Amino acid sequence: MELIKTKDLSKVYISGETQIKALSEVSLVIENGEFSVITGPSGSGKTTLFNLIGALDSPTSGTITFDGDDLSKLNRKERTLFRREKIGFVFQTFNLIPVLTASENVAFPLNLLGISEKEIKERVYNLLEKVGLKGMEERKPAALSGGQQQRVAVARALIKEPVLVLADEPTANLDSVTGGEIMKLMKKLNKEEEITFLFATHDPMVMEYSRRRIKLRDGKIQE
Amino acid sequence: MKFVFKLGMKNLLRYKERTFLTCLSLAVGVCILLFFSGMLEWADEASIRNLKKYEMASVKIGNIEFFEEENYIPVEEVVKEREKIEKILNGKSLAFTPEIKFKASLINEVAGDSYPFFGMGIEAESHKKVYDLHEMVYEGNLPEKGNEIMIGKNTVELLNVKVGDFLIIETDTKTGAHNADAFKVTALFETPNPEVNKNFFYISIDAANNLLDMGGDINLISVKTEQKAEELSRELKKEIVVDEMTVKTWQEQAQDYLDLSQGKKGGSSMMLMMVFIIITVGIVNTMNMAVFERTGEIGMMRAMGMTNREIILNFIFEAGGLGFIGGVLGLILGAIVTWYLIRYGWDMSNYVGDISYGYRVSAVFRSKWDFGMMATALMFTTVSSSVISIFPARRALKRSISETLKSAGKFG
Repeated sequence: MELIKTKDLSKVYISGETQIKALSEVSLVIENGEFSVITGPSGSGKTTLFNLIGALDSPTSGTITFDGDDLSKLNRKERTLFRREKIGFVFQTFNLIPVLTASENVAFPLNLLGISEKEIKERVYNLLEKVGLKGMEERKPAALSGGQQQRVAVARALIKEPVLVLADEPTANLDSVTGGEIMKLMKKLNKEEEITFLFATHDPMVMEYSRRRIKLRDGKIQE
Repeated sequence: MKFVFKLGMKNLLRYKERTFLTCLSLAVGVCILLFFSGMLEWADEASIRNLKKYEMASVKIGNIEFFEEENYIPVEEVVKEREKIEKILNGKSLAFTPEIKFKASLINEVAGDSYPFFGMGIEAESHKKVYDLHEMVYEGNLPEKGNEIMIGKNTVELLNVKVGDFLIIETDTKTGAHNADAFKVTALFETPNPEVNKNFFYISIDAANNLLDMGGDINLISVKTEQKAEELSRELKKEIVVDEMTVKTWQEQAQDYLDLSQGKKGGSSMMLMMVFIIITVGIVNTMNMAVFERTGEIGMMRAMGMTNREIILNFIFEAGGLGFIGGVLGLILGAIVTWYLIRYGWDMSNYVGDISYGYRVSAVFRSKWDFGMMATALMFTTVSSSVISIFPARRALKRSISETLKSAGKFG
């Protein structure tokens, strides 16, 4: 069942009098439960495509539907609420909030959804155990290793049970062993929770884990 | 909302040193504010008290011409129908005292020094019921008879005299003739009102009568009341229907001081504004830094679905907390300073000498608990800090999410 469908999706950035075509008429379908990777050299349009799929930005032309809803028609507030409910993000440099503990960082998306403290605590502790961070719930990010921090970031992306997780270079700041563990973890969650994962990466190891590779070059798909 | 508030409070602890320094600068600003406002309030209140206790009583009854030409002190403008007026005052059970006010020069014949003064002819017994001057006499008593003169401590130093010495009073009589007579210094005073200390001397009303050839006339009746001076003035004006006579409240007599006081308050407000500008700059810097350093984090929070309103609220709570803590610290510091000034005072005589800047207070400055200003200061630091934080937060939110994430090198 198709989750994301883009049709002739284009994005043009205007810098002064110069127009930069970051994405050119991209048509693409991502099925529910996919574990796919978008690859391509720098400037190929990976980030732009990620931004559009994640409703962080709106296209210049073309359409993008998510579960049948046209994202290009959403206003800013609707896009915010869409991201809040349906998308989980994993960032290259973890982007944890340093003043919050691991459990509080993971709880962040649930707090935005207004879920009760009791339920939040239960879900957060269960998930942290699942990602191998039992006993580290009250540690602040500075007291965790890079791998542990990325596990917290993965847990934060998954805690609200999103429809889609967008992970941008999730292993870039990790050593190969830790990176492998994180990928295994996400693969496992993909299977168990049937959450769709989409990666943007150069890392061959991430590509090995993925079922499908979408190659981008100069803003166009070369699948 | 609760979560956003908690996050704002936790962010306060993120940069402990910066938070501490910002709070400290706020605290110092609030402390300076309370220091000045308390001292000004005290100076104003004490000045009014000292004006009434040593200079102007509650109201004065006198000739319209006398009040209009008060700078020249026209002694010939006397109180008309004195008996009738005194009967009315007695009927109201009011404390009152007759006065002869005149301009004179005090001459120390030995040294040859001569200085201009205001002379006051007073009736000691009734004077004590209206004024508190007798309580400030540190040597001798209020002059009651003969050629005795009571002078202020400043005058002692100015004319280099002591009790027992003679001073010559030189003045013009009621008829305009020139007159002079020697008076023995029998009493010395020092009031908390520097204008009285510097500019006045006192002789008995009989002696003044003789010196100025008043023929039994006086030119002022000072009245003391516990009720409002304006109310008494209105009542007396209705009852004292005597040609050329009028009643002046202490406020009307002290209009110059009140104008000066208002002007000074305006100047002080400017100074207080300056303090607040310093506070504002501190908060703006801190919040600008906070927003700048957390650009990537703001991008992440927006990506996760935090609304612009929630992000702005987060900064409002953080800055509000900063302002509140700084304000509370300032109140504590300010309270310590105020308590010290109330208890011990600040002797500024070495810095200001005899200069009173128009205030009727001594050189030992004190303070007053100004709870209104304390509440205002706390509210101001909290609210203004909160409001100021909106601008850098809004500026950060104007950038696109992808741009903020990219600039922080966190995404893409």
